[in-house]
Amino acid sequence: MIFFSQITTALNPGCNVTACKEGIDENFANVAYIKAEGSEDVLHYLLSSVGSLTALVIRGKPGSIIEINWEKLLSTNSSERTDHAITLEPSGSLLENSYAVVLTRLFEYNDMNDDASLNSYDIHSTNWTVHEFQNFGWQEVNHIKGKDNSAVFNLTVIKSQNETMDKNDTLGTLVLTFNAYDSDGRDDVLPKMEHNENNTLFDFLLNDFKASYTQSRFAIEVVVIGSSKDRPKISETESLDDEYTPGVFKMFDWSTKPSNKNNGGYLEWKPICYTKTDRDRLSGTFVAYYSETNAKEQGGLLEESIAYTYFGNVLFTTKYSKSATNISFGLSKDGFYTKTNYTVWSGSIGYGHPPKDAISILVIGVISAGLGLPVILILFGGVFVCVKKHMKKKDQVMSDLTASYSQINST
Amino acid sequence: MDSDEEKKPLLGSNEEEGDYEEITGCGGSLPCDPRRSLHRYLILIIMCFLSFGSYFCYDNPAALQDTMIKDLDINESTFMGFYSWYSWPNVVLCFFGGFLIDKLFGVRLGAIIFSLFVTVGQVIFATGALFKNSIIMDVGRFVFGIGGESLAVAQNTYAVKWFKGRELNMVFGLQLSFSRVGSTVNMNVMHPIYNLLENYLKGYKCLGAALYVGAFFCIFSLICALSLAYYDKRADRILKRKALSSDEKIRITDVKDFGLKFWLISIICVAYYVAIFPFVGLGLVFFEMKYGFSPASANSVNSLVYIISAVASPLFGFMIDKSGKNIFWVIAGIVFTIGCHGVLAFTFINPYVAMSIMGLAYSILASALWPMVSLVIASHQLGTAYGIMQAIQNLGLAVISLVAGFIVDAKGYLILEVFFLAWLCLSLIAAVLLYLVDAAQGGKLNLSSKERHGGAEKEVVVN
Repeated sequence: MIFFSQITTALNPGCNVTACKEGIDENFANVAYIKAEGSEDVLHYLLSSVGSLTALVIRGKPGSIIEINWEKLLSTNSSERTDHAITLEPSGSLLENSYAVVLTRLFEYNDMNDDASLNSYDIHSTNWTVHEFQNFGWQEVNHIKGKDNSAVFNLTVIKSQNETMDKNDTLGTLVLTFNAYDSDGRDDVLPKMEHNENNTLFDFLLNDFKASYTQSRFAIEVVVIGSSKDRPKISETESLDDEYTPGVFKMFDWSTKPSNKNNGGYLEWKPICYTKTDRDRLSGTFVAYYSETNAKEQGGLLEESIAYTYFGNVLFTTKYSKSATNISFGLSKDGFYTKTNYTVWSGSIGYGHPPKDAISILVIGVISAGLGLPVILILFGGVFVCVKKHMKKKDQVMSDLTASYSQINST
Repeated sequence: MDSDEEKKPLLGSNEEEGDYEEITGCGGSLPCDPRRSLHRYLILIIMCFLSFGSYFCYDNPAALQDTMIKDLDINESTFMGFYSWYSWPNVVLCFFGGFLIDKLFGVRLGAIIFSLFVTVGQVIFATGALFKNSIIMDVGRFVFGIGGESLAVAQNTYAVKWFKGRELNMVFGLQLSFSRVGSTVNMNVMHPIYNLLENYLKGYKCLGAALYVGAFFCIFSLICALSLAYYDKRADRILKRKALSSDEKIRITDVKDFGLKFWLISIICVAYYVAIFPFVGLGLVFFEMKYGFSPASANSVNSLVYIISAVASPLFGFMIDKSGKNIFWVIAGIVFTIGCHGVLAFTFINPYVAMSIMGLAYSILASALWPMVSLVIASHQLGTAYGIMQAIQNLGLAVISLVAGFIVDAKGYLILEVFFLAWLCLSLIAAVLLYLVDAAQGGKLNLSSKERHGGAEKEVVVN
C-alpha cells in the first residue's frame, strides 16, 4: 500500500520478549506505534495496554523515532521501567507539549433509580463494581482488516486476585480501536468524527460485557496529562447544525492547553454513544462527564501507565498538569446497558486546535432554497397585489367620476 | 318519535324563520327546544363525546406500549403496525366515508354506522390480545380505522349542521380539545386499569381485558351517536330543516367542482399539519439532545402543543366567532408557527417559549380553518368535502412522517426544521392566495362576524 502522507504504523515494534511475541497465558503486552510525520514535527502515538490503558503522544523534531526496550518496559520494578524503556531518538529531539490520555478504571454501577448519573451512588456502596484496566488481560494487538493505520485492543480476561475469571467464562469483549488517517475527512459511521493528519480516532466498545446487575450502566475514569503548567480543561462547543451527527448539538474537547489550544493536545468527543452495531439516531444514548479533579487520587494507577514509563518521576511534579474525570454512558429511561448489551463510544485524540463542526454548504443551500424561494414569492406577490389594488382604486375613482352608478359585485 | 304531544298543529309565521311546530311540556322547555341556544349547547356535549371513544382507543397501544410489547412478545415494528393499520387505509377510506354520508347514509345513520365500526374494531382488537394473536389485532385496528376517521368527518358535518352561522369556530375548537382530552384520559387511565386487572388476570389475558374496557368507551360513544340521531331528526322536524339527500344528488365527480378555495384550504391544512405532528413525533430526542433536557422534561415540553391546544382552542374559537375574519386568523397562526420553528431551528432559546406559542398558533389555525370549508362548500356535499380534507391530511401526515424520519436520520434536526419551515411557507402562500381569490370573489370567507351574521340569517331565510 502506498501512503501519500507520512503515517506509518507498527504493532509491538522491536518486540523480543515472550509477553508480546507469544503471550503469557494467552495474554499479550501490547504497544501500537503510529508515527505521523509533518513538516515541523512528528507526532509519535504510543497506544498501549501495558498497565493502565494509555495513549501517549510524544512530539518530536522531524526525523525522530521511538525506541522501546521491552524488557525494561515490562519490568515490575518502577525504577527500571522509568530508565529508558521508551526513548525518543536522536536524543534532544523532544519538542514541547507532549501529552497522554490514560484510562485508569472501568466502573459498573447498579442504576437502581434510573438516574444515569454516577453521583447518585456512593462508590463504596454495594452498587459498584470497579475494575482497574491494569488488571485486564489482552489479546494480541491487531489491525482492522484493510486499515493498516489502525490498532485493535481486545480484552480477554480480568486477572486480579479477587476477581479472577475463568477463561472459559464468557466475559464478553471490551475493544479499544484506534484509527489514524493520512487525509482529512470524516469517519463513515456515526458520530462521523472529523479526522486529519494530526489526530487519531478511537472507538471504545463494550460488547456483551458480562453485567453484574440487571440495571447496569458503565463509566470510565480518564486522566489527561499535559506537559505544561496549563491545566487541562474540558470545554463545550454548541452548534446549531447537527447534520453530521443527527440529534447532537454539542461537542466537548479536553485540551491540555486550554489557554492556547493550537499548541496543545486534546481528547474530543460528542455526547453520544450507540447501543447497536448499526449506529443510528434511535440507538444513540447520552455520554456524560463529571467535574474534573487534579488526579491526585489516580496517582498509583498512573504509575502503571506508559506515560510514567516515559516521563518518569517528574510526571508527579508541577511540570506536568493532570486532570481526571469520569465519563459515563447512558440516559435515564434508555433501558440500561443490559437492554442491548452493547455500547460504543467514539472520539478523537490529537494535537492542535480540536476540529470544529462548520455549517456545510449543503445546509446553507437547503436553507436558502427552502426558505428563500417562498420569501421571494411572498414579497413579489405582496408587491403585485398592492400595485393591483392601487390601480383598481384609481380605476374605481375614474369610473365613479364618469358613471352615475358604481357596479356592485355579486357572486 | 311520532308521539302525539309533538304532533300539534303548526302556527303560521311566528318568527322570521317561518313555520314552527309548537312544542309543549318538557319538550318545549329551554333545554329541549332546538330553537334555544341552551338546547344546542347540550347537544354540543353529546357531539363532543361522539368521538371520545375513538380518540380514547386510538392511543390505547401507546398508553400500554411497554406491557403490550412484553405480554404479546412482539417487536417494535409489529407494535408500530397497530398504528399503520389504522392510518394507511384512512388515506383513502375517510374520503369514501364522507362521500357515503352525503350520498347514502346521511349524517345520522353515518355516525351510527361508523361508531359501530369503531366499537366492533376495538372488540376485535381486544379479542386478538386475549388470544395473543397480533394478526387479529391488526384486523381489529383496520376495522377500528374504517370507523374512526369517518366518524370524525360525521362529527364535523354535525357541527356545521347545528352551529353554522353561530358558534361554529368555537365548536370546532372544542371538538379539537375533546380529541386531546380523549387521548390524555387514555394515557392516564389505561395503566391503572391494567394494574387493577392484573390482580385477577396475567399477561396477555390481562391486556385483552384492559382493551375491553376501552370498548366500553366506544359503546358510550355509540349511545351518543344514537341520541344525536334522535335529537337531530327531532330538530329537523321542528325547525323544518331540509332533508339533505332528497333532491340534491351527489356524485363522486362533483369533487372536481369544489372550487379553488376548497383546494387552497386543503393545501393550507396539509402543509400546516405536517409541520406540527411529525415534529412532535420526533421532538423528544431533539429536546433532550439540543437543550440537555431530562427525558421527563423533554416529554413535557414536547406535549405542550397538545396540552395548550386542548385548553386554548375553544377560547380562540370563541374569539374568532366574535371577530370573524377567519383568513387573517389562519395567516396569523401560520406566521407565528413559522416564528416558533425558526426559533427552534436557529437559536438555543429555551424551547418552552416556542412550543407554548406554537400551541396557541395551532389552536388558532385549527379552530379558524376547518369551519371555512362550510362557507365554500354546499351543505349537501360537506361530508365529502371534510372527508377529502381529512384524507389529504392523513396522506400528508403518513408520508411526511416517513420522510421526516428519513431526513433526521440522514441529515439531522437542523435540516428537518428547514424542511418543516418550507412546508409552513407553502401553507402561508396558500393562505395568502386564498385571501386574494376570496377577495376577488367578494370576500365571503374573510367577513367580520357582524357582516357574516347578517349573511347567515339571510341564508336561513333562503332555506
